[in-house]
Amino acid sequence: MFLPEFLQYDFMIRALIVGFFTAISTAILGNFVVTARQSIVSDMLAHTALVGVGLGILWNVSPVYLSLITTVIAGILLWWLGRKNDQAPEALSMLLLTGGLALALLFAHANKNSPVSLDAYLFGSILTVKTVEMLSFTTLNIIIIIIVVLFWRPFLIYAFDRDFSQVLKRTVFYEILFMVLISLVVGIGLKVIGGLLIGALLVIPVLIAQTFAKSFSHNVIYSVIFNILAVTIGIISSFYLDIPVSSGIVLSLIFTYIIAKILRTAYFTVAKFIF
Amino acid sequence: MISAKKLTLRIGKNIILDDVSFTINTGEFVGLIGPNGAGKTSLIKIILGIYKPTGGTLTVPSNEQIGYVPQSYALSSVVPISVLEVLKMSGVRSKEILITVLDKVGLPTSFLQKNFHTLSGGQKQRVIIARVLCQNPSVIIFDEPLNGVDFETKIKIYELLKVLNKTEKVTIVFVSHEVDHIIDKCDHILCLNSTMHTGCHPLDFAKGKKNNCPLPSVNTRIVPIHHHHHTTTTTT
Repeated sequence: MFLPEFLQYDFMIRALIVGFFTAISTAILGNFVVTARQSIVSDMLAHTALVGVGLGILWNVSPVYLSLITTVIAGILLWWLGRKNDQAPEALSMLLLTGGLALALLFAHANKNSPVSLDAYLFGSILTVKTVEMLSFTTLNIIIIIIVVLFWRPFLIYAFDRDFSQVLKRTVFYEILFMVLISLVVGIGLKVIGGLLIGALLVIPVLIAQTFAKSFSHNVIYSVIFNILAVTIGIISSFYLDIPVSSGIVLSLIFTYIIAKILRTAYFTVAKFIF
Repeated sequence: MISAKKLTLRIGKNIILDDVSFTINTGEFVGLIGPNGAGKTSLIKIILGIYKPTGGTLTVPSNEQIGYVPQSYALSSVVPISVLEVLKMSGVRSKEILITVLDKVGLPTSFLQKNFHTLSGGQKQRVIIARVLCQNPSVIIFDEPLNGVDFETKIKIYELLKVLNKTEKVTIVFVSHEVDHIIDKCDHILCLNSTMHTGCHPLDFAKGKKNNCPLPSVNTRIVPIHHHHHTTTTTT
């Protein structure tokens, strides 16, 4: 059977599988994140996830799982800080953001002989995903998707209408669960696209979908499609053009965004003449 | 009937509410007024069970289902969401019920498919009121729902609330700092004051006068809530 060249390599197949599921989970969660106006939170969590990477480098253990743990802890910490509410949450998140990066640098610096580099997690390294990582990331992504679908209504209420959500039962549980899910997705994204670029997977597909969608569920579906496309194009283009995967993914997302905006403007201009 | 006796709320060193007592009878249209910062929203949050009072007692019968319409600016998101999706947040899934409720607030069925964010301020408020109605509340609390809504829409929303109050027998608690708009609509006005010890006269706020208290020209009963403190600082 004929296979295109990029599918003849196991590392490419692993990358495409991890990329596919990460694209779905980040796009779905991204809609809730943008609705809740918490886009900046993902960036903050990514920086604290790097603490886990730093620790992994320091202790010579796999940074992947350590970073998942530190992100979840940071996520819960951020939720708690946000509840205290006596200082601006986005300003407070700067504590975790810069603090996380500083700690990551410090730990990585302490073990200069480590084979793992911090760079790989700042900018992603999906082509180096191992089989075990592929399996665990994929399982985790599927679990995340199932949880979001199960708790769709409370999450949507929380994201859309904080005042209304306070009136409902178990708000605190949903808030923490939501934060944990974002943290996990960010932790996975660290390997896929990198800590500095994970925001792109969560936010840009949502922005693209907004130019077409009239309802939240449509927005989710469109953003999932665009995210899968961008991740796939990014991975394949890196194979043929020898460019960094993360650049390929982010740039194809931004390119799609620009095209979507142009199409929308063109549509409305034409519509004005016809109607 | 909702009744509060000597409610106190402290957050840290700040006394938000001090010795607040009032009664809201079933079926009434009640205005809750007070200047910004008097603790209106905090009081609502106690009634809704979001805050626990630090002192005093609040009695809400268990069969009382309280609905809540938040301030409209709280809903300023940008990701599209259809009116249907907003209504389904109430937990009601049946489309027939949703259409009936939408009709009660004066919106056509075609609105279900519209993007909530493209609606006007008044239409958004109607959708939010419809969402609350889905939960069959016996009491609805409106927290300054008409901020940023034009005058004509305000009148229409008042009329809608009046209808809900009369025909559906829903107790309405209407929170506002714009006294002049609600004074002749209410059976009973609760006045939460942070600047005077003995309660206040609502018209004072409307006219910007604090010392002059003319009697209201309309047939409205005004009940001052005794509210002793004004802001911050006590270290007890």
